[in-house]
Amino acid sequence: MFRTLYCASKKTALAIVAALLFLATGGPVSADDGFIVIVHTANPAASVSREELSRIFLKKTGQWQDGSRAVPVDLVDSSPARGRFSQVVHGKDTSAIKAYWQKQIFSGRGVPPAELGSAAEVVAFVGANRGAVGYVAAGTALGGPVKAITLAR
Amino acid sequence: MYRMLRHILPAVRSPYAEKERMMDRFTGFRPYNIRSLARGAVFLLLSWGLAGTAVLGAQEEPPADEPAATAESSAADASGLTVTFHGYLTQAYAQSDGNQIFGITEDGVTDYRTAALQIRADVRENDSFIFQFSHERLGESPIQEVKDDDVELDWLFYEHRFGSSAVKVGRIQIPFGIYNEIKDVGVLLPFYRPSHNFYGEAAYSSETIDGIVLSHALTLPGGFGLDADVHFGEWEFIQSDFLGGYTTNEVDDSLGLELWLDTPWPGFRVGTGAMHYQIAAGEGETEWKQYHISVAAELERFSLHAELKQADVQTADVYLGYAHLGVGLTDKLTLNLQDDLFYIKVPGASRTRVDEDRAVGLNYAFNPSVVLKLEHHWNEGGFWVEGGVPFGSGIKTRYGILSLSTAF
Repeated sequence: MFRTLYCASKKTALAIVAALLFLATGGPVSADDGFIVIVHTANPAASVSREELSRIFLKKTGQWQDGSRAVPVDLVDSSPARGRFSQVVHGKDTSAIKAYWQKQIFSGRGVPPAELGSAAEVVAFVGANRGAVGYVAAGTALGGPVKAITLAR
Repeated sequence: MYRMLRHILPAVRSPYAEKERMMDRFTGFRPYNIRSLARGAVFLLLSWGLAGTAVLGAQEEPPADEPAATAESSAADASGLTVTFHGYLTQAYAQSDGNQIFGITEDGVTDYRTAALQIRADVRENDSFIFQFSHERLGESPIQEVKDDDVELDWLFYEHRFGSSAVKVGRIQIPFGIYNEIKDVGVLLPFYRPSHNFYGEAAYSSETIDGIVLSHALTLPGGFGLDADVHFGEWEFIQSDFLGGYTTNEVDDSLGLELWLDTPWPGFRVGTGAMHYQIAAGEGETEWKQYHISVAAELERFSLHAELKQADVQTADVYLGYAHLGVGLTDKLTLNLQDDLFYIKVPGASRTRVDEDRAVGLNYAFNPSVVLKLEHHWNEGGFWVEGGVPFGSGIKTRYGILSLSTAF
């Protein structure tokens, strides 16, 4: 009996540890986060890490991992999806990211990504530019050569 | 900074002589020695080579899927050239309790503002020309008596980016500390101005350099990142003559390094830097060196900035630094506290405090581009009091500033 209990406890402990590890590292970001990341269908990427996507949108890198040019596009800062994107991807709220870009602008180091007013405009922009990456509210209809990719934490 | 402070020269030189000196700087002839000529030639060849490479690159056909630029305040033509406009304005009312300090009087001043308009032309993906014109008013400061240029060329440079690196040539803001490149951008500052001791409203530093800046960003393992900037060129600054007056110092062969380490802990960065330069003094030159360390921690509700600079000015060592704490009381309201210090140590004497400025302020951000600030300062020491004794102890001044900052 004690052996059975020991085995059960060991399995339970392993299951708990596995669950904790999963929670700590995070699983893929799903539409439940309020947004989905979209790219052109010609982009071979099926997923992107949060860190890489943050670097792309902060223009700390201008390339995808395959070396092709990355062109980020934002929604306007009043968009709820923009707020969720900032929190999940950058780990900061939209105002903090605006302050980052103001510093970049007035130190002459760069300008922010283009801002578009609606999800439809973002979808159209991504569909017209092979290196483009954007985000739209979950459930947005994707038309043309646009696909959603997974955002891995 | 130096443009306004070079005018603080009580009866030493006339405003007309000042204008002549300004003209000489851009159009006149200065006799250089062979060493300076050689360095200048190398610098020019490097600049032309880089600029030529970029121009040739700009003549290539753009890729077929070049995205249309739709950034705010921008215009794009068929060749892919993108022009963007940005600007900022801070208007203030300031009043002191008696002594005049930084142009602030007991009667109060409203002629107190900073503003700028930036024009950025992105010729291609990796090439940009950037111009910024600025306007600054400093109340009743002696500089305003001779400063008749309402708008000045703040900086203008050409930038070429290649990979994680970039080169800028022209009149460029010196990468130095947390705030040097943005020291007049009110929406980004906790107070009307950053630490006047560390950033030198009157001495030992300059906003811009006429020369070249090389930058490189390095991604390190473990979530760390390193930003490095190297600059070389000329600048000038105002220095107190310690007799109640000021002199303008021309700085040659200024070589500086600025390093910033991004850490895996969001909002926490550490920086350090050094500068080495020659100051023209009479028939000869003196060599100055300065080193600094900076810490910036910007968390959700708290921000902490602390910087310390040590400068070897041959006849003395000066220590300048500050610590700032910001506390977000609400999403829009922030309480700011700052202690700003200036010490000097002359050989054979103990370290002496020259200036201390304690400040408390409240900032209300209507949005990231519109910020209202109310601040109060307790200043001790005569160094910054206009008409005071630079090293007079016991001179106490209180002053307040109410300002509105905007940016687009």
